[in-house]
Amino acid sequence: MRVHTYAAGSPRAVTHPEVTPDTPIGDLVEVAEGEQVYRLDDDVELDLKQTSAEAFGDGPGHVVVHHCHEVTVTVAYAGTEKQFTVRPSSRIKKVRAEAVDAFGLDKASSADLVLRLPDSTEELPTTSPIGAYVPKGTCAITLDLVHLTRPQG
Amino acid sequence: MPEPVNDPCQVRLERHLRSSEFESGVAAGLWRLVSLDWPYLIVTITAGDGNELGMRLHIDGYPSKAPAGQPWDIVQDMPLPVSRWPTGGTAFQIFRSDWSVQNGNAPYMACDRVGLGTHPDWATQHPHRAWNPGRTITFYLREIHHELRAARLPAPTEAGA
Repeated sequence: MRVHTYAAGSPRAVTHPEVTPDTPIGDLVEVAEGEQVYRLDDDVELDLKQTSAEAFGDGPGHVVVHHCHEVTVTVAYAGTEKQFTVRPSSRIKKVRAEAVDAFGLDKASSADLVLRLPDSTEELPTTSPIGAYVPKGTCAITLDLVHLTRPQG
Repeated sequence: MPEPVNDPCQVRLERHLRSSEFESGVAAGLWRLVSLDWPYLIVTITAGDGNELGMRLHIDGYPSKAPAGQPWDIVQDMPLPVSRWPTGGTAFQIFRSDWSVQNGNAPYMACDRVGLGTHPDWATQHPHRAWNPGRTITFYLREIHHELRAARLPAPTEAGA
């Protein structure tokens, strides 16, 4: 089975292509003092003695190693800012949904909104963990919520 | 014994189908792989109502050439009738009865081969939404998924199929 691991401030995951089901999670990741290990999009910390099969079943696994218990997210949209907290293992998809809720936007008007880092023109992938964009030394991130421009004509 | 894969485009695609980006989207329920019969890839992409839109992508020349996609009936293995194309949200601007039908049922998007081929200016005007050889299949799926967030898929009976 494959296990993808994400680290603080590293948007690109490291893939372990051939992990045997009995491999402990602790053998796949380097965990420094003060860091926790999470399953992607799961608030509960993983037990490093757990095997890959116990943690992920038959499917590919996604592991997030991070120094933060919570990440404070500040989102800017239409000239105002909102702040909330999420786990570092939360997908950008969840962060976007929290942002849409924070600004009180409905489903239809928010359908084309994406999250970007300030001064970036590329959206953050909805499937990545927010912790991958929060480097060591901080537990906070600022993002812009912007409407996608759709080619016309 | 399976035949060895010699086409480097297929090798690249298969590697990208094993990537964290693609598999994380599968785990999140955003899309899934149905089949790969080179050079055709069949996938589903989840719409806002939770139903899946099937799409068949022609992926020869990947990733130098953009995928060329069209809505696909994965049960009947044939093009999805226009009456069953996604509606609501921004879907009608992408799956257009006044354009897509005359262009191989292609989505009107800068990530698609037909859309980009018929609008060469999109690559420079909308580089963040346009295909380029540095993109992967996950970019294409993500772009389609964006446009389906607030969309729904007509049921076969509802669509008169």
